[in-house]
Amino acid sequence: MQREQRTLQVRLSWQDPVTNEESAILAPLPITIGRARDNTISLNSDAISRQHAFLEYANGEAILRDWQSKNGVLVNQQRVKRAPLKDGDTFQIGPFRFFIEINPASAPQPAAPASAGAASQDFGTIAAPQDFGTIAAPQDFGTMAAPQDFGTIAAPQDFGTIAAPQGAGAALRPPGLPAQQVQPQQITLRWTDPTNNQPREIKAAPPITIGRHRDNTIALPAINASRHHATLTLEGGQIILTDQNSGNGTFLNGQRVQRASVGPTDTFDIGGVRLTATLAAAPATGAAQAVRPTPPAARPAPAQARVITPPAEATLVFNDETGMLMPFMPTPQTEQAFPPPFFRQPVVPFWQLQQSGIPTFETTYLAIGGGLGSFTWIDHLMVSGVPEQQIVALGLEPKPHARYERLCLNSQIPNHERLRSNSDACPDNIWGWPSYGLREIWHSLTRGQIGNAVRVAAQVFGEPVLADTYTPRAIDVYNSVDREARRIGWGRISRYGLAHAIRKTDDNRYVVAYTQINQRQEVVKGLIIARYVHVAVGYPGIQFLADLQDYRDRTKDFQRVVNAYENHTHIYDHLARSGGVVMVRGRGIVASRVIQRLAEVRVQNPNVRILHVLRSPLLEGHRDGRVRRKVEYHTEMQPFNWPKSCAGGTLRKKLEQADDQTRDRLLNDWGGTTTAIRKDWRSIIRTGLREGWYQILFYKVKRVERNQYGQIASLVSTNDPRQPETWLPADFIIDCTGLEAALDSNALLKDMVDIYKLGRGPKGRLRVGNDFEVLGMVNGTGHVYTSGAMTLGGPYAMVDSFIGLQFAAMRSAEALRKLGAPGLHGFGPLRSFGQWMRWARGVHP
Amino acid sequence: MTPTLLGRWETRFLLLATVGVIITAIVGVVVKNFVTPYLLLGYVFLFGLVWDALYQYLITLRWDRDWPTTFQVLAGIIEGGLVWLLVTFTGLPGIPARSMPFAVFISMYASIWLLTFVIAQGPLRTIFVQWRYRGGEWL
Repeated sequence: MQREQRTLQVRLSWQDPVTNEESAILAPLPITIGRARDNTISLNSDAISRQHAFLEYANGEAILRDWQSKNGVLVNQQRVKRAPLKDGDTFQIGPFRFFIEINPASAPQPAAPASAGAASQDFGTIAAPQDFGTIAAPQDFGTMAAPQDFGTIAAPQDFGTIAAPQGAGAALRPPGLPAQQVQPQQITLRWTDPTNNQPREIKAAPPITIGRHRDNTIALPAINASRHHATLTLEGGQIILTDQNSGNGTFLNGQRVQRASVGPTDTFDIGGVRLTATLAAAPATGAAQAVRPTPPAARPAPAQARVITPPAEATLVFNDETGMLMPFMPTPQTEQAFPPPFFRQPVVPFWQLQQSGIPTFETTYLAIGGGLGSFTWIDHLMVSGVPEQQIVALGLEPKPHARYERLCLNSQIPNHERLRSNSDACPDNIWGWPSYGLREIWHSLTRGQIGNAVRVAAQVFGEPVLADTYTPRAIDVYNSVDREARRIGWGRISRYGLAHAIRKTDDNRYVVAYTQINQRQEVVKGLIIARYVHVAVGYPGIQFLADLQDYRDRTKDFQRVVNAYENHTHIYDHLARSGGVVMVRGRGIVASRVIQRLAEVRVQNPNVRILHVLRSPLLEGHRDGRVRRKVEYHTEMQPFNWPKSCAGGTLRKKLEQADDQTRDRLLNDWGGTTTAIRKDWRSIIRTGLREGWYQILFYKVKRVERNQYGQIASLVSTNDPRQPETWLPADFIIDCTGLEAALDSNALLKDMVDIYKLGRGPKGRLRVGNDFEVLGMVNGTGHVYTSGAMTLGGPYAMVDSFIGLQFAAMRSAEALRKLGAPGLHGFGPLRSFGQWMRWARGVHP
Repeated sequence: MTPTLLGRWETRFLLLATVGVIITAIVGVVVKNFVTPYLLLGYVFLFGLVWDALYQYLITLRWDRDWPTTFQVLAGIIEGGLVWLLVTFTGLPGIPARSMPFAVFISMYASIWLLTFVIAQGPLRTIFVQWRYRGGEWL
């Protein structure tokens, strides 16, 4: 049965009392307003409550309601609990004055007659297009996690940064502009929501951003979508899909693409979600006849054209009764939902799996993630004797190092450059011998590159006393992993799929619900049952400093304020052409790489300046017992990201033996941001400081805004309260503070921790045993292990390094052997050497 | 290397008990005297246990708590030098002063040291996969 969703499209504009900056949003009702970030309009002011007010649709009207505010909502200077709003009304929330236009889109053409096919100008009410058969009754929203998981329509880019009229008399300019713009073409996007398998559709004006983060035009709740995954733009009437250097790639009709044009019959895949995009005004797919052109009777006719940007209509479905977003919704599920309803139980009976009708595959060992963590674990299992037929790896990348490689490329470690990794941390070789240093010496010798062989040998021998610590070339590591992947038959072990949830079964095993896109571009649901599961999903995303995140949220400017782990080559390209000022935030290895890259750009264009903004000077390094970490140029120096002994020396032992509290303290003592001691970096800093193109500044940043010259200005203050705050302009800001490691940002892990009420370690991540077993997940004879960033706070410090993945893999393989897990043999000297010989000869283990 | 004290002792024992014993036997055949070379090997091991404790103390003064390769070489030279001085000038129980020619001492000591050094740099891990994570402990 089809069901119509009625709403109104409104344009809300408001002015920031502090900056005088005017913002606007065009969105369908309901709209929520509050301080919390998950509101449609998030306002940063102490006078605003977290959930302050909302606008909802009822009987053809827009109703403003006080939600849970402390300071109330004012309409005509009167505090109200509920008030209907007319087009052109104003209301006040805290210091913000709002101006509402109802159905602004239809302004240029008054009340389009109700004729079938009048599509895009008609406001509001797209009903279910026929091809979507059963569109969303409100109760279908059961599994949606949070409002931002909807295909939230964010304000298109053109909003938000309307220049504030300087000194204009009116506090709030009625944002009427002459109807000069031609209505830009809109794009209709359709996809199936991966959390509940419901069809979605929105229409929006390009540029459209798609990604996991809620600041996108389309926020996809897919854990394998990157935060800012891809964009859709219009060029010469063509829809252009551009991958934003996403972790898992963008696929057009199954082919990975960087940039491609999308035709009406094409489908593209983002993080396991399949979408289609068509030009909205030329509905070739039958959407037109489904559009309900009848406007609600109560719609006031707007007096003049006020459209600044075209409407973004949406078939976002809200609860008909409350009109509200997710938190108020009932949460029953339909049989279509995925993961299936029986996943709501912590222990799933096996018969339910059998009767579910969902294709089910059984295996003994299952590795979720498919990256380097999964790879090292499976490598250890196979070298220990497990046949490949008993192992499945579930992930989205064909190559185990794909995501790692992408993060390196983005953070300015091209493949010919060297990683910050130890010579004998070899993800392709569980023994760590021959090390990458030895291999490089050997390869150099066989290619006649005697000079390089001697240099590497001297470095390996002299490090870290007489020479900089040797580190391997990125490409050598990737090639070695590829070789080992071929050796162990990774292609036969690895399965393409996105894991959504993991549950215990009543027969001492686990079931994992996953989806994949098949060759015909259909979403295929599946279940995998396994007795032993390894979860290694890596870092959930990238992290921004709060002020930079705030700027990006408000302005949708993803070009000038970037994270070092995002693709940001456009900055270097721009600087090489035109020069400019770059603000680098954060100290550490990534900052040093970025500065090095900027210094390279300076060779092309000397008109590049670097402002390295740090919160405070750093004169003394971390202290542990009698020793202190060395500091140079306000940065702590250390070859790797933890003291070397954390890999396998006294510190490793100490941490493993410590209790939670001590572990927390030790990790704090040894941790912190550091950079590698490198002669080239040192010389760049020294030269830059002397010549003045590199400056280290100590400021706290309060807020970031775009100034009237189009620059990004940071409102900064010093530690000295007598110093006034000042604006520090730059052309670009690069956030080098790192990756996000919050467990809750990973949907799969959060779901697992929540349903099984798992404890957390001292760093808020997974609580693991010394064998890297996820504590609380044991299920009779079944066990769950993990490795990587999510285990920090456990027995090992270097968890997110190659050596850490191998250590965790070794420990869990050893534990499994003691449990009598099938296929695992003891790993005595004889077996070890025999397997090493097989590795050396490139023979299957 | 990032050894622990126990790891140093265990590795020293392992390597001297294998490589050391074999090379000493060869030296014994050449000089037609097995007692002095084996006694010498024993002293190198015993003094080494004390040296190891000192090295392990020095490690605590380094932020990385590591023991660079250059230090290993330096340590080998110092250890050998001390044993040579004792053997030559004061003698050791069972080894009278000046009873061992320098050529014999240096060829035995250097070959044992070099071979154990090379093996400990990596090949040992092909047999004991956990050795490197446990700071040299293999037992």
